[in-house]
Amino acid sequence: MAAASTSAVDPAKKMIMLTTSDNIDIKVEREVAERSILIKNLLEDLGSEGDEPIPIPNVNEAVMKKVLEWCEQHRKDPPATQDDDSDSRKKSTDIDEWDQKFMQVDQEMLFEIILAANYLDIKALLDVGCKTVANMIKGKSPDEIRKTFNIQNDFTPEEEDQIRRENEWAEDR
Amino acid sequence: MKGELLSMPEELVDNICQFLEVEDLLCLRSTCRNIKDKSYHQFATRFFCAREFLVTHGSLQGLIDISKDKKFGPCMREVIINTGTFPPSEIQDIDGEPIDTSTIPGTEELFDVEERSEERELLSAKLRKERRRTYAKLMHEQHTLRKQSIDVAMLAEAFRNLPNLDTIQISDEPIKRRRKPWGASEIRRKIGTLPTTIGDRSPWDRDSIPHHKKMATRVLAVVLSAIAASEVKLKVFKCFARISLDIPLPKTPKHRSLSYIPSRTLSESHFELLKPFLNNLKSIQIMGEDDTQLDWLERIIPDCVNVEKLFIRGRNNIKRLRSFLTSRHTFPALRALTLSDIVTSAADLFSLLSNYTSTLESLHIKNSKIYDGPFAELLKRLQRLPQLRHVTLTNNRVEIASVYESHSWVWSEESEEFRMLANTRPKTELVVRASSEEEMGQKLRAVMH
Repeated sequence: MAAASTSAVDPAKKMIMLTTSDNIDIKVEREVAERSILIKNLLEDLGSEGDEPIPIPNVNEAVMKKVLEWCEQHRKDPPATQDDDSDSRKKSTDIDEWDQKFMQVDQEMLFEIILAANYLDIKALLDVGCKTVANMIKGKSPDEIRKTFNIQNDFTPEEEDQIRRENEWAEDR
Repeated sequence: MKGELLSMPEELVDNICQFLEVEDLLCLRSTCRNIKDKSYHQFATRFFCAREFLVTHGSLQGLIDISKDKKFGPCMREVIINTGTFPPSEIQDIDGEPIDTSTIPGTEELFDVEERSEERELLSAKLRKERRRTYAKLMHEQHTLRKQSIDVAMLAEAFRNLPNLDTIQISDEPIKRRRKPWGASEIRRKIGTLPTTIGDRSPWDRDSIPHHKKMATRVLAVVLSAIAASEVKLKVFKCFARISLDIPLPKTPKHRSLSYIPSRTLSESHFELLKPFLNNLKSIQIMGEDDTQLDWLERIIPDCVNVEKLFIRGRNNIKRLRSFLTSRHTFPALRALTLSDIVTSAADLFSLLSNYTSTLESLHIKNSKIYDGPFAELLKRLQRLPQLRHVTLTNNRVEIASVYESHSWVWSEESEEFRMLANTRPKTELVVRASSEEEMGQKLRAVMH
């Protein structure tokens, strides 16, 4: 990694410091960190220097490193447009090969990444995480979903009847 | 923060649900209370925000049931009424095939034996008889709903119960192609096929088309009557059905009807009751394939004084449209106009636009054919609309030139010129700058070629 800020360094390549919830400092190129809209806004608010470490109190070191690995890979991706919020973004659950491999982690890490992506405001990573979970749900019965995510069925028989009725309403009638 | 599905906040479970197909979402919400509650928003908005119904007893009862539900009734924003019906001439098409083995116990093996086994023939004949009997019942049921104006009463009851209803749509789209209206699958189980609309028939199908046209008009009458009876406050009215209201209407519900629409359903006095509803409308979306089908619109236009958005889709020449769109009291508050699949002369189009000089802010013309006038002239004319800020032209054919790309122009106050917006697809992105109308015209003509 390059040395911290010098006047000759390209601003995008400039290093900034993030402090995770477990008090670990992580150095990262500004351009990579700015995949996070939260960090980007913080840096802008703090002024262009960004020499002060930025506290990220909701993300621990392990998850932050994983998130930054994704940001590094996607550092040159075009920024999200407003259109990305439209329905079209939601339809496909296709995930590119690199992202698929990246998401091959245990469930705890997967959900931590989703939480972190949400907190750090990295829409593309949030979508990849949610798509990964959606793909784990697809084609499974309620029982199989319970097993996959360690869920206890806590419905009373009356509640089950109610859900069955509501689901019938929703189906193609 | 804890990494497991159950501890995810509602907004993230909602986000995950957005990537799920219908069946998967239903399975997920059936796992436990926590997930059911967190997936509620997706479930409610996806299935109950806009729902389509038929004018059948079962379907309208379904609408009433939803409207009474404390959770899902308030979710419903749009009710779509499909014109699906059961023309008498189509009863002959009802057959015993295909046999739905899931509804008749003990018939599964019939598919393992030869196609034309005697047993199967017998079953098919029996089914045909049953299905035709059911078809006749459904025909009769729709007839009774109409004759006694039960359809109006049911629809009005539902409208009254729906606190957030703001859009009503009438549609004659064929049912088989997409998500079905409420009750349609049940009907298919009973008669082996779906109700049909005019969209299912070819223009040469002389037997059933009159029935379909009457049904579409009847649906309009029922919807208008139910709106009048329920006093529902709507913002958007959409009519994507081939409807003609060229029937004599009685003066009041007490006068005798001379048409197939009962006087209790629609009379001249109903239009008086509709005035508050029409006054309240902000947006109208319509489809018309020929001039006669817009006569119903002429009836309601004078009272649509607050309509700001108008969407017109159709293969029709807009000559007739122009004749009433350019009348003095037509849509005086119109701010956004979309014309889709329109065939028009440039002169007619200019004349139409000139009526909205003082109000029109947005114009979208797509998949349309504009003849007898250079396209650049249109752009020039647009510059005479002082409020116009946004122009989108998509897939229009102009004279013999074709533009198969989407271009959007916005009026730049700073440079006092139309500037082409950056297109969402970078490959077709095009920016046109001009210092004069003439130059803009030349450049746009060059773009078109």
